[in-house]
Amino acid sequence: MNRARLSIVGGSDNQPGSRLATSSGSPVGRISRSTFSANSLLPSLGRLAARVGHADFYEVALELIGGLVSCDRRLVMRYSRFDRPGFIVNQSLPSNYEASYLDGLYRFDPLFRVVRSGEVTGVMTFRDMRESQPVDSFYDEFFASVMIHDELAVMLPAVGGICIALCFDRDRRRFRDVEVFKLRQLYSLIDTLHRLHIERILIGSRGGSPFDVKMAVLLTDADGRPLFFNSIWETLAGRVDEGKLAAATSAQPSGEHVIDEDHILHWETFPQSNAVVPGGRIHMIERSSPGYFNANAQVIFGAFADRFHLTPREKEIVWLMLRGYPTSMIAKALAVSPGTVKNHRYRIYFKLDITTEREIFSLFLNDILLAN
Amino acid sequence: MKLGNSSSAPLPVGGPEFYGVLGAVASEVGRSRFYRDLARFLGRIVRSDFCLVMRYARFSAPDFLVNEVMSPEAVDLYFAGYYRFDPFYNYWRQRGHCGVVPVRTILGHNTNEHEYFNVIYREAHIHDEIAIFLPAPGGASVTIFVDRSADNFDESDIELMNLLYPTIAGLHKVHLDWLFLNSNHDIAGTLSREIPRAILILDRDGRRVFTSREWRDAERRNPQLDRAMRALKEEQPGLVEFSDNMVVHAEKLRSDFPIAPNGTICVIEPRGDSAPVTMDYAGSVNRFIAAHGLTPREGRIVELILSGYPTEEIARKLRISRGTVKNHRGRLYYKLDITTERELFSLFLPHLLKASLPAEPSAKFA
Repeated sequence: MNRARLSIVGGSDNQPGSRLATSSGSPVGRISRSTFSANSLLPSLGRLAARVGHADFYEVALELIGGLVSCDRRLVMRYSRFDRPGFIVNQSLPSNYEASYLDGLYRFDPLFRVVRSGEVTGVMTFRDMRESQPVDSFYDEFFASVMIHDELAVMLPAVGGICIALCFDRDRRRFRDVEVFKLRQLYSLIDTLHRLHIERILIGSRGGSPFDVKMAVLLTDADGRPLFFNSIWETLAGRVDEGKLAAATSAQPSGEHVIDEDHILHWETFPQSNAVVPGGRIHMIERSSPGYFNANAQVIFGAFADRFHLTPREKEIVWLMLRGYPTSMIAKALAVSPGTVKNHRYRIYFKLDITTEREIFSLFLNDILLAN
Repeated sequence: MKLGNSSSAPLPVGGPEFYGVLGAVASEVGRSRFYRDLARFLGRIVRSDFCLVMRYARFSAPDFLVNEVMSPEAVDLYFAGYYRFDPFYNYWRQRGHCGVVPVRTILGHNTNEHEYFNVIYREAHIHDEIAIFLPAPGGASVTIFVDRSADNFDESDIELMNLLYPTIAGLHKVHLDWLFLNSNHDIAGTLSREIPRAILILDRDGRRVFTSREWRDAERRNPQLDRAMRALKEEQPGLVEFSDNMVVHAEKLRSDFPIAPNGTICVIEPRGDSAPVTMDYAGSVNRFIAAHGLTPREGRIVELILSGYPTEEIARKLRISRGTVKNHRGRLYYKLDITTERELFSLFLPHLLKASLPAEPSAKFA
């Protein structure tokens, strides 16, 4: 991985809770506050149902749900069991942020964590993600302060352990329970339409993959006859010993098999109730990627602070900055005046040889990724 | 006799349960219960007493896909010929527009059609009805009916159906697509009744993509079909008649039709006495009375029975006692050699059909 690209990109915006992301100049712009009126929702639902099996299904789904919750950015992400996440629809995140995410920041994404640990529920916010799996909150706060302040994700399971996430991001306010509740009411319907979409695409469009061009897919019927495979499967399948594959996959309804350092094959069997391929199997070859980041943040931070000879008070301040605290809140937390915090900040910037707060994130991110 | 789902609780649109129930309907896509559940869902929204799902074709008689309303006797009468007076059958053959159609809006001008209510609707205890016409390949429509047995739907009910129409139509499209996708893997090629039975699907280059079993049977039995198909292809009339009053017709398919985008669907249907007719009700009653040599009093009673009035109403209208009406009825049944009112309707039907005029030719398919 090219560490140099990880340096956090510069820019003029400097809002709390969003050092990386920008809300200015986004094509979506500030999405207006919306209502949950059946009069406006039902025509959108009709549009979504009509787009089942079409390439723009996710865009239409984003629009439908985006009409219910206000947000600063909308994204559709693909989370898989082995590969790093991928962007399916990115209507507003600048490409350099997308690159930073894919190069390593994704490893701090709480959504990535819950998908890998199998703790996904239908509609989640960052808070639900924290509650579903109590962890040291540092990385969640770090991710929120660097990348996304709060996120509401509608998690739609596809096949092969892949989960499509419709993400709605905010830079300032957090999502409230009442907003989540609205989407939970809608969830079973959206999930059902999405399953129909996946079925339709797997069977209907010969040659297209619903997920990503970088994933090899082979679909077989209950008797093991191939129904569908994409071009990446053709390219990658050569690396698999066919006899071994058949022996491995026939023995177990689902499983995984490491092909080489970079590739992993996994498969699962559809239940007899599956509408399109009852008893059939899906095989996928994915690139393996490092999992959720799990090194002790305190230890890494300790080394970071030592390297720059930070005093105990400076350490406290930087620690809070990394967790997204603005100056006023740092002052309150440490029971000092905001002016004192500011003075400390200047000394910290001098010691670290930086001029903006953004660079602290960049320095620390390099440290933690190298430490792992 | 009242069947159906009157026990289901009302379902306010956008209420806490609404989207969950709609999700459950969506999960039936591709399965045999789909239209039943969809109809019940709509029924709960407008508090209907029962629902019905039919398939209207371009040429052949309608089909019941879901019937929770009509008694077997009413269904018999319907197929015996009353369907030719069905205002919705007429509507589909003449106009062929999809959407929400309250029965009142199509009965406006043709008072004869009101008589249809007296026979079929009273038999089925239908007081008011809204039809939701959904498009099906081959010029057919899957039509969902929501019915009330005692009172009328109001404007807000019709508005709700219009509001829900895009969603219903979307799910219906996914359902039909699914049936075709599934048929593609099914060598026997059996499709559900949602789709006309004898069909052939060609891709955009005219290659065969799918033939149903009924189509293959028709090909084996009718050597003329081959010539009809060539005529259909070469002259592009969209419609060719061949043996036994059979018709083969072709329609273009959507660009996102699953097994043959921008392809063509060809359908074989019987044609002939199934065309919709306009009812000459009064004339038919007079001819019926004359044919059976009924007295004027008996004739008046027959007319009122055929119009669906119960004994009590007839007594009130004729200012005679119920006992007298019963006596007249007894003599009448004896003369006609029948024992039930239903037999009276069956005896009357041929007179009605003979006296009726073919409805105006179709504007949509002409």
